[in-house]
Amino acid sequence: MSRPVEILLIGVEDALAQVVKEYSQGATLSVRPYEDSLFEAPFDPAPAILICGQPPESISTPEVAQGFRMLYQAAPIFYITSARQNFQRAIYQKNGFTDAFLIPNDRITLRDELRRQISLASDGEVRAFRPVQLIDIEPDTVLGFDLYLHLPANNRKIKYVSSQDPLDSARITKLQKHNVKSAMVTEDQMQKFYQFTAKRLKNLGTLSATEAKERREKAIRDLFCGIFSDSGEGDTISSGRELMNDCQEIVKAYIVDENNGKASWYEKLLAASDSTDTPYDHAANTATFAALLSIGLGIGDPKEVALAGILHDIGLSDLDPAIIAKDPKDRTPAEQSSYEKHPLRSMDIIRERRIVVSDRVIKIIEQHHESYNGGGYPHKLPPQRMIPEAQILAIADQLDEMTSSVDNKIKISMNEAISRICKVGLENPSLSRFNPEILGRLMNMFKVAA
Amino acid sequence: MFDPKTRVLIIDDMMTMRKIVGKVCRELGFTDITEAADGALGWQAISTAEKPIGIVISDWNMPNCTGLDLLKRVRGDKRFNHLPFLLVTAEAEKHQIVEALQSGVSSYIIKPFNPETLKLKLEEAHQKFTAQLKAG
Repeated sequence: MSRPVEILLIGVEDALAQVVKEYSQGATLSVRPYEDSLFEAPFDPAPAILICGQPPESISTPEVAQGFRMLYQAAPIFYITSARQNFQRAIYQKNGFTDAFLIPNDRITLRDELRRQISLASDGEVRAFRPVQLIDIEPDTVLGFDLYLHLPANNRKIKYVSSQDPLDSARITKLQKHNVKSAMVTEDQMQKFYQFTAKRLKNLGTLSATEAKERREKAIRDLFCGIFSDSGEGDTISSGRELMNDCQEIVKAYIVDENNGKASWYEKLLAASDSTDTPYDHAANTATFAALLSIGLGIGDPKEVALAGILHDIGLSDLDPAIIAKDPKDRTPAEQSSYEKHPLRSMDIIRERRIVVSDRVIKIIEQHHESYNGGGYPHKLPPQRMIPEAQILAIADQLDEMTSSVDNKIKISMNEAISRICKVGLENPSLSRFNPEILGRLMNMFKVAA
Repeated sequence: MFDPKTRVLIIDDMMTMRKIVGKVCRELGFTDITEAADGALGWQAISTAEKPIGIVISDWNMPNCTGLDLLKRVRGDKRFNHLPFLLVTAEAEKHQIVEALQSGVSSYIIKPFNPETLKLKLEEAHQKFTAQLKAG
């Protein structure tokens, strides 16, 4: 291989540099602060990729874009920031940046763009491979994408089965012996993997009830198991996020296919939810968890549950962010009361914006903070009046809250989170937020001990 | 095209941008390059220079005296009636170009630009300059 792809980061804060590093396999990174000499004596040869962080006050972001574009006319030059205020992608692009990324919102776009650029800069020598979790594979299945195996001993990837060849039982058995991170797909074939997995999940619905239940539960368990595992290794956050994103893409593929491949309203809503103060990641994650739990437990329509997941907290956009950020214990009674109205406000916003959703979706959103013990909000509903999909959404909501990372550190693993939710609920069902019957099924599905 | 020995004055309040434009000018062969940090200092350089300034490349948006203010001042002085004057604008300011053209700008250039674009704009300014000299 020729010389490695060099990425130069200028004035990029540590946390964002870490994000770039996560997505820059096959490249070498160097970090420099903003300094005048950068503009006086450009690097020769030019870096393959230049990534600029927020500049000091003495120079504006468009001026940075202009300056570096004039120095490195052909190079991809990106801007990365976590400061939402005054973020103006179109202006930055007009002034010379190839693209601009607001993190965390644009994390996935950044990842895809970096991989594309690294592959381009290396003339295709650096191929981006992604670890994948194959679910519910039957003998002689044709995958539709090339499957590779990672051999850690010599750090090589070998093609295990071609896209058009059937995967026989001997190979499936061999595959199952390997660690989850061993099965890999190239970046350019990931869409085929998502579509394949979504199709497998759908096919489970056509089987007899008993057979389907077992396979469905296993499939969902397998999909969930990689997300934020217990290993605590350095790459856990990165691989966990990738698997989370894979799950999102699988749910998208599942829903798009339901709509006969038409433009996905689901994707549009995901994008629209970004325009509110509701954290995008939370809405997307909750929707994904909820849809997968719905599929795995056979409760409700996964499409409706996913949709409710995207929209469930839209009502928070009207609330003072300071109130949202407070620990509930620290809120004044008035603040807590306004906070507890957010499910109703979400319903109002859906009506005001004329978002077309079914009555069932509205009901899931309305009830997602109701408790099995009757102490939830906004209506303090008794359990017999609660719909099970609302409980699925509530569990998904809590799972994301418990497993989301803070300062790039995992709070707890997925298995641990599920175990804790089940333990709390099953120890004292009369005080539980969640229906013990659903918790029991959840525990069985994930094979966790409460 | 201009003689490479022509004295070039680059005016920009951003030091980094002065460096970059200066580098582009050097790539085009110019060797005598001087700088000023705003329009007022630019006027001082133009009006008091021992060796006359032959080309002005001025940013538009600057504190104290903008590029357009400076252009009007330059054109208002008979000594600099024909002084080649390029205004450098950002994309967001290009709607103001008409006023600059009415005020006698030789050419304008939108940031970011590359050496080829600057060369073309300088040729344009040079042709105008030669035509004006011929016309007296």
